[in-house]
Amino acid sequence: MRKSKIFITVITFIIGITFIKEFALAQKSLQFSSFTPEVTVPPGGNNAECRIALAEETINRYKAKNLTDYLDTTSISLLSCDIYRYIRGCTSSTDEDCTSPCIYIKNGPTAEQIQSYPGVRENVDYFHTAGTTIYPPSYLYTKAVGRFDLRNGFGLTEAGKQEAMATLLAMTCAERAQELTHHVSTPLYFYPLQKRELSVTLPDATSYTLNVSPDGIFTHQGKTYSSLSYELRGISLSFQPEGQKRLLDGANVELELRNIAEELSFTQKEREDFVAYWAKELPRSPYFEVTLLSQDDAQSVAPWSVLPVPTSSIRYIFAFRPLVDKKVIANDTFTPLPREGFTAVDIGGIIIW
Amino acid sequence: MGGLHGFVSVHKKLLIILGIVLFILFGSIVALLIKKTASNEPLLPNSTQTFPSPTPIPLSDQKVSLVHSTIYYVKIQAGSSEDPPKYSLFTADSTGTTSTNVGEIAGPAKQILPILDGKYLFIGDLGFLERGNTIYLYDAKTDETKPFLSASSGFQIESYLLSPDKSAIIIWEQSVGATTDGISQIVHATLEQIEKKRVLLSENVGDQTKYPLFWSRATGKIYLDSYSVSKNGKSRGIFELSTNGNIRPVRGLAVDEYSASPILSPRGDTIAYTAFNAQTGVKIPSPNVPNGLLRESIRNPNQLKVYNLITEEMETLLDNTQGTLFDSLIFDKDGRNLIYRTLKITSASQTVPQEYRKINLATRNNELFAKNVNGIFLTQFANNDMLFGTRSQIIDSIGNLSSGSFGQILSGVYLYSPFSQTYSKILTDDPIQIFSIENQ
Repeated sequence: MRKSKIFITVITFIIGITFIKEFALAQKSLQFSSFTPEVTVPPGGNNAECRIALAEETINRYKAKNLTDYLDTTSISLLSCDIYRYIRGCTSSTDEDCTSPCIYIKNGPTAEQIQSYPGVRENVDYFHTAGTTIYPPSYLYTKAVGRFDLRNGFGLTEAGKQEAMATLLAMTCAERAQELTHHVSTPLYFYPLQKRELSVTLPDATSYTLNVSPDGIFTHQGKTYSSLSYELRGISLSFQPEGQKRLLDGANVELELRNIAEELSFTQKEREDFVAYWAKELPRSPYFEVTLLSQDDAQSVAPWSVLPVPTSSIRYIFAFRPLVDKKVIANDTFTPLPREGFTAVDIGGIIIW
Repeated sequence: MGGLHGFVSVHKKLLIILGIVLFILFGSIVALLIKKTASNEPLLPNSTQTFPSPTPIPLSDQKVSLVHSTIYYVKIQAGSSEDPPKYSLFTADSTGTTSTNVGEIAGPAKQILPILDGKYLFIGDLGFLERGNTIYLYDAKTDETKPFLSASSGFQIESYLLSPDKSAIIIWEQSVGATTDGISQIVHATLEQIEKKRVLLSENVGDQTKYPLFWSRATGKIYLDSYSVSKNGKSRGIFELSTNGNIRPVRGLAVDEYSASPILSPRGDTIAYTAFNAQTGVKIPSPNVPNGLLRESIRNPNQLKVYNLITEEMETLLDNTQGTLFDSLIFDKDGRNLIYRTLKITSASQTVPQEYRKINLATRNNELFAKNVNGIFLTQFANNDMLFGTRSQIIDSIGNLSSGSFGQILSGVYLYSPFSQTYSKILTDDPIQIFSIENQ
């Protein structure tokens, strides 16, 4: 009797344990099987409006890469083909001209042939006019605009063209281009020959009156400063820095910055500010291409003014471009500009993200 | 025999109890097996069952599982009229320090997406308005490309969506040449039985022409945005489509209730979007144009809202009537916080980007997230680092899942550490297009 009870209890226990284990495994298995990898897609481009904004940026980059001529040819073909099909009103999948790829026509008519068809050239010209009138000339851009127009029902009627033009003209800068600003704080130093009052107007049109000593020290609202710091803003995304260039080792960026400061004969205070600021602000990167902008470019990037006008207005504006791979770049030595008489020195920079 | 009989009669009660226990155990195991088998079956073409099972996944399990991430990207090699462009496919882990070239797809193509085991889908045979005739399957292991799915007769493919578990596909097709007139349709198929396509939605293009935006793992439904082919452009709305073809407008988002298309949370249960409060004191005016494409509600996204797709409850997180706008939304990795960019309207009716901020959906705690507005955040990895892409001036059509047309090419990709607020450049110096990020 007792043995039987023990036997039954043991059997029940074993079955119970087995069940609990199986149940737990099943639960775990189910839980993991229901987990699927997360797939995300970069945002952007969801809205037709956004596509227009992106389109304008396309132009400058392609121009910078000297691809404009090639793209003009390709885009003319594409746009011509699209317009041709639109005019013809392709409706049948059996129509070879409608179903064969439009971008690279292998067996169909050439771009030149298509453009000779009635109505095609005029519409291509229209889009080209729209592109050259409102934006820089690029068929790539007008292609995007043309597609936008078609997608949104403007069509190619006269009324549609007028509507498209009116809409494009009404767009804000933010709607026509990605409004991104490369901005960092940049210090402006003044070294008058004697202590004097200076009127400084910054690029954002704000003005300050400063009483500056020959050592560059001035007092403003009760506090003592050695430089006037302002933000370099509004530099276009398409900005291509030109000037003396060199490659910096990202692993020793502080040392590299010190070398630049010495080459350009910065004062001790300028050197400390320069190294401390950029060692902190630069992203981590294996390498940097650094360009010291020409004085003309620097003037357009940092158009501050000082009254009375300094004898020497120096703008050391650097463009830092982070690089993953080591590039062959001319290893220029940066040449200091002479500091003669009353001198104003801007030591700023931008990061080409 | 007599012994057994005696044993039974002596232990009758115990045996009955044992029998009941065994019956319950056996029944439970059978029920579990049936449930498990059913959950692994692919959805039948004509089934009315919705997909996927909205099994809640504990956050702790997600964190354990999110140990490996893959970034998929392409480099485009420019072609010519005789030599079409080529798309070199690369994969990299979340550190981005090593990239592997896994294959090459001949263009022109758009919407490349990874499926399982080194295979990729993409739309090829692009024609009018960059619509494609075929979805191809590229096997990177064998370097072979085969037709996978053809557009329906008389139609071309605008875009497609994969289900969250990549077992089914939704294809958005438009009749050949359709612009202001024509038919738009949404087709469903499982990847296992791709030839058995079902049309879920067919409509004449009009003021609310619908197209797929995302597929929620939490509800199993497909969410559609819409656009107007007429000249007013004023009828955008969000719709919910079931795999059995049932469609209904999403409450509160039916007509022009949002400024930009919503984004979906990682769990798939919440969407976030921007909207317009007309009572604002500072706004960019609507221009005098004959259409509504640049209407105030689109130009002035001054509200930040979330909407729970399951409970159908909407919450306004932010409402600014002083001239601050919001854009570039992205959920963090567990969907508890929303990251967004702020922009200020200037006196010249332009906008200047200010900073990225983070708001907690539950506590509404709002804090600075990043000062750099020169790019967009793409995803957050398990270690909290975020992928940050800086936009180039180039647009192309590879990686835009939502509407399948133009997408952005990135000039640089960085890892951003929210804790140290530092950026580290990764991947490559070449312009690329990231077409998928998988967190496993």
